[in-house]
Amino acid sequence: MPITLYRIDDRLVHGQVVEAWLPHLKAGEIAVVSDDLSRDSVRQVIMRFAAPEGVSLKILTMAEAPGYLSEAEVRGPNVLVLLPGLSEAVELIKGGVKISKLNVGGMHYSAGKNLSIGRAIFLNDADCDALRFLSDSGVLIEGRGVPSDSPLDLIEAITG
Amino acid sequence: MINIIVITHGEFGAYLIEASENIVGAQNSGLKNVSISPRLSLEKINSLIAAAAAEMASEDGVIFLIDMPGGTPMNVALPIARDIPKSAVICGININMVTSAFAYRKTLDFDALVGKIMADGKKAICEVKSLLIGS
Repeated sequence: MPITLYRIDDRLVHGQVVEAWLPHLKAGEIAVVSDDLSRDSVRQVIMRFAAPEGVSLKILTMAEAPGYLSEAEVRGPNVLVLLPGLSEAVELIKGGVKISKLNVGGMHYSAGKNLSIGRAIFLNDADCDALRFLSDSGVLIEGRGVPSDSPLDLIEAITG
Repeated sequence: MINIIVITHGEFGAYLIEASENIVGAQNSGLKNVSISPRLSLEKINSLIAAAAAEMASEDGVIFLIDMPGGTPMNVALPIARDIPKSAVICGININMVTSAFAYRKTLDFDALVGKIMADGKKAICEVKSLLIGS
C-alpha cells in the first residue's frame, strides 16, 4: 500500500510535513497535486529545497494525478500525497481516485472561513460541503496537524 | 528515549521549544528547559542545571542543546555533562536542531542523533536567494 496518506495542507511542503510526517510514514516520496504549483516555477524551487535529501518530490497537475497515483499504489516507495485544499480531494474522487483516509492538516484562515476547528483548520460553507461529499463518498476524514496530535472528527464538528 | 535539556540566555530556549513543538508535535516527557536570567547567581544556575541533568538521566543518553559556545549556559553545563557518560553538549542551537532532536530521539541511537542534530543545524544556515533563485 505505497500511498500511505492523503493530506490537505495549504502550505504543502513545510516543517510539519518534513520533520513530523515523513519520518512517521517512512515516506520516500511526496506527491503534490496542484495546478497552481505546477505553474509557479519559483515556488517549485522552494518546495524542492524544503523536501529533505533522500525524499523525491513529484509535482502533478490535476489532469496528471489520477494516472500517476494509481501507478504509485502498486510500486514503492511509500508516498505522501499533499493537496492544497479540499476541492482537489473532491476532484480526485470524481476522477476515480480511491482515497480511503484523508488527513486535514492545514487550512489556514482567510476571509470568509469563519468556522474554526483546532488551531489550523478554518472552513467556509464550500469547505463544509466538500467534507460532506468526501465523507459520503466513503473517505475517512481526520483533522490532525502532526502525528502525535489527537485526531479531530471534522464531520462531527461541522454537524454539531 | 534520548532526553534533551535546552539551556539558553533568557527565554530564547523556551520559545524555541514552543515553536518546534508546533512543527513536530508536543514532547510530553524527556525534555527540560533552563532559562538563564541575569538575576540568577552562578550557584543558582549551577543547581538548576544539575537538577535538570539529574531529572533527565537516561540509559539512552542525554543531549544538552545550548545557545552560545563559551556563554554561561555552556560553561555551567559542561562540567556537569563531563560526569554523565552518555551525554553531549551541542552549541549554536537553532530551530532545525530542535525539531531534529524531537523528531528522531526515539528512533536514532545516541551517536546518530548527535550527528543528525549537528548536520541539520549546519544545513539550516544558508542564503537561499542566491542558492535557489540566483543572484
